[in-house]
Amino acid sequence: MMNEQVMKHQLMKVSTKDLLYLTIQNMRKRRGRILLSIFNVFLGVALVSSMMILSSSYTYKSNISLFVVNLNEYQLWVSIISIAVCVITIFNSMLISVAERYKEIGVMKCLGARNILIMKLFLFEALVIGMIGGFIGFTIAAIFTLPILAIQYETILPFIMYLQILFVSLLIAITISIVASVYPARYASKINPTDALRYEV
Amino acid sequence: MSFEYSVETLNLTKYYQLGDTIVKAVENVSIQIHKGEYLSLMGPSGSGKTTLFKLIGGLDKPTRGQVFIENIDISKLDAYELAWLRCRKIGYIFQTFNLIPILTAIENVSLPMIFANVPKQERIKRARELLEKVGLLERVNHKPLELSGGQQQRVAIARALANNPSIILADEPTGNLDLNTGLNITHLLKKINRDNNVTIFCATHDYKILEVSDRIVWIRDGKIEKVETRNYIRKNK
Ligand SMILES: Nc1ncnc2c1ncn2[C@@H]1O[C@H](COP(=O)(O)OP(=O)(O)O)[C@@H](O)[C@H]1O
Ligand SMILES: [Mg+2]
Repeated sequence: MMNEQVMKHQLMKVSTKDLLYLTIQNMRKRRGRILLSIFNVFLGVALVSSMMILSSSYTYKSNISLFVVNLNEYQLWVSIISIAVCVITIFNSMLISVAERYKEIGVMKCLGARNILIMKLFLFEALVIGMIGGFIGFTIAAIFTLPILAIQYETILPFIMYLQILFVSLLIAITISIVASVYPARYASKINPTDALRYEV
Repeated sequence: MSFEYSVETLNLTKYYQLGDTIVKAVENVSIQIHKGEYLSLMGPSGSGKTTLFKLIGGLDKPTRGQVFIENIDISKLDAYELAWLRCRKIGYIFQTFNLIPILTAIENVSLPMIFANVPKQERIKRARELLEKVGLLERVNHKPLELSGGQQQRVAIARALANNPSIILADEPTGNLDLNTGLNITHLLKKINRDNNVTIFCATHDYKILEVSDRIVWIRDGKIEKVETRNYIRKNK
């Protein structure tokens, strides 16, 4: 419909760098809620990773240096519940964030932001929360399980196993955070700018 | 690209359903706005000014009628093209400024340029230039809450100009400002209108704005009451 040449020349795809910039800026300026979300991921992941670390000492003792998830039934249930709690809390916190930024999102749309950009903003935020929370969670778990490993199992895990567990922990943390944010992000992207600016007069 | 009018509406109509009653917010409005014209929209509160702006900016769909922006029928545009239009062609100015509270003045002005994928260096340079143009160079790093109403509206004007739009829709830009500040903003808009050859469509119920307008459209209960040219107003003062 519109002049194709003009459209192509002025492609409105926001670069990943700018997306990250917008996300970080927003996170820096709303530190309180973000820290709470990170704390939440970190608690959940710390629990799950510490159980992974402890349980993998069995596999290590039987001379397999590949990390194998080897949780007993009880540990599995605790992990599932803590992950579920984590998802629900982040979901809730993301919805609050959308409500907080309702008008702001409306303004951004008036200024030409596309739906997909709004969605990406929230998912990027979730990604960063997941990564930071997961990393801290794993680190805490690794430190706190050291004495237990040493005293109870009389062993220390090799570095390669820690790396494997870190990888799985990050994967869990990011998945938790993103899964919990899909619906809020979609909801935010569908906000009608006229509704958002309704309370003008 | 050649076009006849910057903005043209044809029998533009918007009804809202409120329970059992139908509110006729805008009815059969047909206006033509020339490139570079300063057009004022005068009407009391509730006369349909904001609704008309939403329709022209493609933020809402009309019940009936059409909007053409530079000869393009905006009802034919998809979501991407509409976003493009809002980003590149139209600059919005609101009565309540609507700056993003967590961002500084220069970040607010840069925002539409991020949406348009302007490189960072260029963005910062242009945002500074625009803030200088509206007389706020020494306030670039202030947040909206650290600025007065008039200053906030200046930032909003700079933001509206970010992507060099050809049309500015200003919905009661002086409505929340005191008389003198409002007058300054009005003159700033006029200066931008002259310097950049931007079409300005400005809703108001402030009579002071009349002297800078090329034409005035009077609206009442969603319908156009009369259209006056500047010469006519001068003669009858
Ligand atoms: N979203 C809406 N739903 C229902 N009625 C609306 C809505 N928006 C505006 N109206 C009604 O339409 C009329 C025109 O409103 P508006 O365009 O905001 O006028 P103005 O900007 O001139 O004050 C008013 O009677 C208002 O109550
Ligand atoms: Mg209004």
